[in-house]
Amino acid sequence: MFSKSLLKAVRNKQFYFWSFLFPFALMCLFRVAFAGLYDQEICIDPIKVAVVVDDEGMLGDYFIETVEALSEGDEPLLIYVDDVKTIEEAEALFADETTVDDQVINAYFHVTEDDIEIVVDKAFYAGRDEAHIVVLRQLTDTFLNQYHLIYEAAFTNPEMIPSLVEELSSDIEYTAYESNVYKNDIDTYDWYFYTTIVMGMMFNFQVGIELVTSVRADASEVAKRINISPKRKISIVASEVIANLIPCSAITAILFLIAKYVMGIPMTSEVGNIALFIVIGNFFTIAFGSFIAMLQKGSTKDRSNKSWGFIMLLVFLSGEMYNQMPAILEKNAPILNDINPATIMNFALFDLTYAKDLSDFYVAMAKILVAAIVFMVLSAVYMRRNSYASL
Amino acid sequence: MSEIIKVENLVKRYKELIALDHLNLNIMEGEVFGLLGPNGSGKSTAINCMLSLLQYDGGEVTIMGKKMTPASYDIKSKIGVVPQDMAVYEELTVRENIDFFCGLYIKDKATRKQYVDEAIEFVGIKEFENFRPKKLSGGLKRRLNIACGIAHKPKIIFFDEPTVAVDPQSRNKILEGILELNKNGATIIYTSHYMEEIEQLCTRLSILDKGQVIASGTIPEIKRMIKKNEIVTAEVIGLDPKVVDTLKMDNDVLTANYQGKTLKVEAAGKSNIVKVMSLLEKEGYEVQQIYSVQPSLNDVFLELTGKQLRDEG
Repeated sequence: MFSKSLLKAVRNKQFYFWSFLFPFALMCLFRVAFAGLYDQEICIDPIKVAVVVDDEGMLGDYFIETVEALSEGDEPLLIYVDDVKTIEEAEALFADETTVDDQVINAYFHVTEDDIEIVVDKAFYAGRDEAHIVVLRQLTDTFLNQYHLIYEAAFTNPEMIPSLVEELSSDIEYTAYESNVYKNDIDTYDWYFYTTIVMGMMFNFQVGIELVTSVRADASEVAKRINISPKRKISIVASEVIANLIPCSAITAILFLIAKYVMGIPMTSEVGNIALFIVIGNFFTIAFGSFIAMLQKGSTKDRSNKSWGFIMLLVFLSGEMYNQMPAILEKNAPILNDINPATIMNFALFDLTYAKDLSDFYVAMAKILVAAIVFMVLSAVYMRRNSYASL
Repeated sequence: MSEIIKVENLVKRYKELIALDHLNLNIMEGEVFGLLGPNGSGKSTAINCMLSLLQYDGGEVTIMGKKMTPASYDIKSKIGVVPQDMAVYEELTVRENIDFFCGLYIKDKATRKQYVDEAIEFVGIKEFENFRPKKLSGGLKRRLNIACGIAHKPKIIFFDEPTVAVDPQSRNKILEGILELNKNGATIIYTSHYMEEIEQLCTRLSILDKGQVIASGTIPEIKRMIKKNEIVTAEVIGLDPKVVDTLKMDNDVLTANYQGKTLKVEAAGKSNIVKVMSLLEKEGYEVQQIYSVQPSLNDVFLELTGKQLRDEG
């Protein structure tokens, strides 16, 4: 019986689409979409800039301070050439046959009364991709937006300025990871790959739904046959769960390997902990699917269709498609992060890769396992041998 | 023959609707028992209640002398069911499906293999044993459905309209198979709204309408319950309506109609064909063809309920 259950699970084409092909396609998409930005952030050379201020005033002063701040540190984004005062002086430093290399600037900011213009050296622009220009533009736009907000507040509601400054600062980085907690540098784009792996696991909820509908006589014809047989339901459920757990776990393991070795995403090499994560995570999603199916009526398709929206919402709230979502929820409704299994698994996976101390990972796994057992027990009670009010 | 299934005063309600209204059945060991009735008469509900799949509001079901409950594992091990709809896994092949369902009853691998082989042979799907169900025709799927229900050699087999939407060739094969299972010792409970099948297969039957048994017994016994005993059909050209009126005046004649060139006389009693023939000859008509048939179960149903057993043939 177990071998047939395993065969059924392995031959379920729909399972491969949602649990493997869809997450895999999404991972490829993320890689293609973000790889360029991701690499350029690492490799970008500091841009040599000057600032030309037309009018003496706050805008020019604050902007120069910002440019100076961005020129400090071990890996500065900019190199500020502070002895340039006019447009003529700045343009004279653009690269040509007469300029000496170390005197060349790549761009200058022209600060007028209420705006900032970016002028880039043609030679510099031609020799690079657009990332450098995007950086300069983003820097200028962000600065101007925030400056104008604070400037307006100064006239209309000065006491608001401290909270506004705080709000603007937090807007820059919502995800407040404590850097000393993690072993390595964190790249938030990795998060997309982790959430996609977890999403693939969450999609195994369908297996749980199929489990319930294949055992409840009021849900399928096959289940009627099973109910009429003398076979104990507990052995049927156990056999189906284990049989389905094997391909589900194998698929997740393959997604791990693809993310790590094909996509180059940082992943832990601790095989034991990865196996723990995969097996408990998949057991949970099967149990969770059974529990969701328990709350509904109808065929596998009916129950599955009704559940998709809910699962997608959980996945979205866990940070899939928008990596700042858990941080936003943490700030406004932390309970949603605490009860969303997708978020718990995402953080567990993140911890597994980055945390120096894995205690949070083990706590998350324990939570998931307890929840899985509770859901499975409830589902088993629901699936017990019974007569039904209608078929 | 001893009683193998006893259904007493079975009541099943779906809110306002009474699906089974104090249903009583006695099924004897080794017989082919038919449950005949139009769609919605309560045949499948009765079977599902007997199998303890459906909760019922009153009454009792006893199988092999024991009360049937959802946990009657010993009784269930002796039952096979062929449901109305396909109940197989699309992911498994024909052989794997039969093996899976047989495995719910038979643990021993060698015995199971032998049973599966026999079931495949029995329903005649040997050459399709490695096909997935979706590759099979409607008739072959039905045969697979049957094989899954009988592979473990049950003593009691429930067939719930197993020939719905099946081609005549497969239907005959299925009916022959059911008779063979009965010959081999299985008690068969067969539901259908096809009266020809019931007449062909069943030793006894109950006719259901609106959840009630309206007639029960052997086929001749049931047919004797109605006045109509014979239907005489004659082909005769240009029959005078007065002759038809003369026929209607006979005490045994229940109805007489002449349409086109066909005279149809429904009558009680026996030897009505002789009466009709004699009258037509006496009146000087040349009878091209004349024959007599006994009433069908549909006629029984029509007379008992005032409606047709089924619309389609």
